[in-house]
Amino acid sequence: MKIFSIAKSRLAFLLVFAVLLLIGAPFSQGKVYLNINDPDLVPFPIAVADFTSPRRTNDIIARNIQNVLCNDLMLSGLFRVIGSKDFPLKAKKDSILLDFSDLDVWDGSGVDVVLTGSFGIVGNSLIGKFRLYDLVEKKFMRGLRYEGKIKDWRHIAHKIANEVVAQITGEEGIFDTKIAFVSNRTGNKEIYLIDFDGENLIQITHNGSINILPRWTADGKKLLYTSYMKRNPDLYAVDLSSRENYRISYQTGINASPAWSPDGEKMVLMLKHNDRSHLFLMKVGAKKSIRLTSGKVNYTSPSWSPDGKQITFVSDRSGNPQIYKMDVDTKKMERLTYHGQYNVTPAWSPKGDWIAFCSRQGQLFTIFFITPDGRQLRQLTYGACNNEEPTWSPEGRYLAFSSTREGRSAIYVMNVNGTHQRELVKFQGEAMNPSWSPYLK
Amino acid sequence: MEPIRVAFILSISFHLFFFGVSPFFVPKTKICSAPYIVTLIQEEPKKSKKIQLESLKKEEIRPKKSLSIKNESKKKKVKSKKKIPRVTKKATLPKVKKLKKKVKLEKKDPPLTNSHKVVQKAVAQIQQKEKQKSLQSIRQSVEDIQRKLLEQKIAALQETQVTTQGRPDFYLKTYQDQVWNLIKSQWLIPDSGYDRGKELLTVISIRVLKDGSVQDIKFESESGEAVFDRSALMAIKRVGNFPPFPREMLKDSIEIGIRFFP
Repeated sequence: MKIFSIAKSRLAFLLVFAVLLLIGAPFSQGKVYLNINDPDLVPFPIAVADFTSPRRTNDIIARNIQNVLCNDLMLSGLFRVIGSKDFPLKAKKDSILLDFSDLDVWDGSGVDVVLTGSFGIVGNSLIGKFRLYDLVEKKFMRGLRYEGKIKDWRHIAHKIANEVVAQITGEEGIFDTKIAFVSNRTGNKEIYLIDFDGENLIQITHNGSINILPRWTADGKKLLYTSYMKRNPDLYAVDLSSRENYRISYQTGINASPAWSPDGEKMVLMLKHNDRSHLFLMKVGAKKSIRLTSGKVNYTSPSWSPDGKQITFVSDRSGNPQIYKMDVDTKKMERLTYHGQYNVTPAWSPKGDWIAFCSRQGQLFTIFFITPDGRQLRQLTYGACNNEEPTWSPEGRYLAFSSTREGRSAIYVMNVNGTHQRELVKFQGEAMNPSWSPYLK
Repeated sequence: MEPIRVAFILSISFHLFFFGVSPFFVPKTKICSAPYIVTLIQEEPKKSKKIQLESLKKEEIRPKKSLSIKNESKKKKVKSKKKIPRVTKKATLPKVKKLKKKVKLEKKDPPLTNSHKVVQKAVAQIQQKEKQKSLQSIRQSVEDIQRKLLEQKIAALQETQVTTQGRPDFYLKTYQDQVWNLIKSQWLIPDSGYDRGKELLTVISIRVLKDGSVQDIKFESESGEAVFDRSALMAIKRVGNFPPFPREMLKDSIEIGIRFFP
């Protein structure tokens, strides 16, 4: 019987195998899968022609726009810009005329896209256009016309860079976004704004007091900050177009680190309650605030998840500051970090995949990532210096942070994978508390 | 007891007669050795089950080896020749044993006369000769059979290759390797283009036509990282046209899925 059963099982196995073969046969004939990994880590090659003005009367401004645009593309780390001196001979002439009569002349150049542009001044306005050609598929990709104030030429350059990135990567560009931060370069801690490329520095507050922790509203039109103007650290808002300041929260004790929800309808704020800092939820238009946390421990540094359902924050309820997350509706709390004794300033990524935070390792602060489920931990910065206060670019590709790598504290920008670190702007004095704007319309 | 003796003597005399007469028939077997031996092998299985099993096993095993040898050169044929002696020894063993037993029985016989000795010597000589002859002939026949089997298998293989498109499969694979190489050589991505701490997978399927042109480029699944997806698509587009199919591939178009991962 045993032998019989073995024979039977073998038979069954053979039968199954045969059936599988029969089923598999048509599929194996139909499609084959090839695995390709380990790509060459090379930026996308883009050719940028010399920008000119229509009658060659305002070539300087056209060239300035081109330079800012090229700098943006290079800073992004996504592109290798090829200048007109490296163009194929036959393409040089056409590139100034904006359009190419024959894209075949680019064959073998190893370039994917070519950008041409023309800008001139008509009256008081700056008028121009650009063209983007796909050299792989040999077709016209995109062309736009711009008209604006002459003083906004830099903004126009950023807009074109955005368009290039959108066309090539399918993701909205962030070259016209800004980073708010605090600096003591005038002797007092004041709020400043700067462009992604480290240009166009603007001082926002001039009150001579202490102004800290700037945070953006969801629409990017206002900036919230905490100021000691009236002795108590109250929360203020400044309208960036009118530059008017409003005091919005002035409870005794600290009113700070506001986090505006992605939908723009709620704000979580840190307020003092029973000698401890707690988190309060405020809805636009509602008079009363809701206390989210309780107990004789501190809660601070809230940051919203991109879906607007959860917040991450710091609490010392375990005895030392650690990162937590909370479902805002149910107030259900969960501790995320168990690594290190001191973890602060969490920032939820716009894609929702990571929470960046700052961790003290020995005597130094280092930036880490953790997944929102707390399972995966990654160290982003290294070196004998403090790297603190990470803040995400709106598409989640870059982080701004403060670093003491050159002695004083300064603002740096890096890629999400820790590469392409650069100092945003160099000036006398210290810079800290960076906050990256949302997309600015 | 008597009838046994009678039978014994009878058998001895019969044997002697047989071995004495057999040399006269030897030349005939020399002339047409091959057919005789073939029949031998065919008949043997019927006589004893062991031999049947053995011969079956050999027949089963050897073709497999010859399969792996396939079309390749003489070296392997030489190998198969080397293997033959072992087999033949095994095949002849039972016979020899029987013979030996008989010889022992003869030795035990009490009356040993001179004539007996002479006969024994003659018998031994004949046995040796027979052994050698049978060994040779069996070798030959086995070789013949092996060759025939090889030829048959090769022919069968060729037939199946033609019918199941086994050989075009080879061309298909080398063509796929070419496709892989071309796409790989064109795949570049900025290091800041994607989060290297994540597991990403982009699958793009393409249809390559006979002339090497690409149709129906479509994403089967996206990684979620726009730049990564884009870089994969660009790698395919940068290749442009693939080489035309070799004629032996016997296909009008092939569908290939390409999995890109960091």
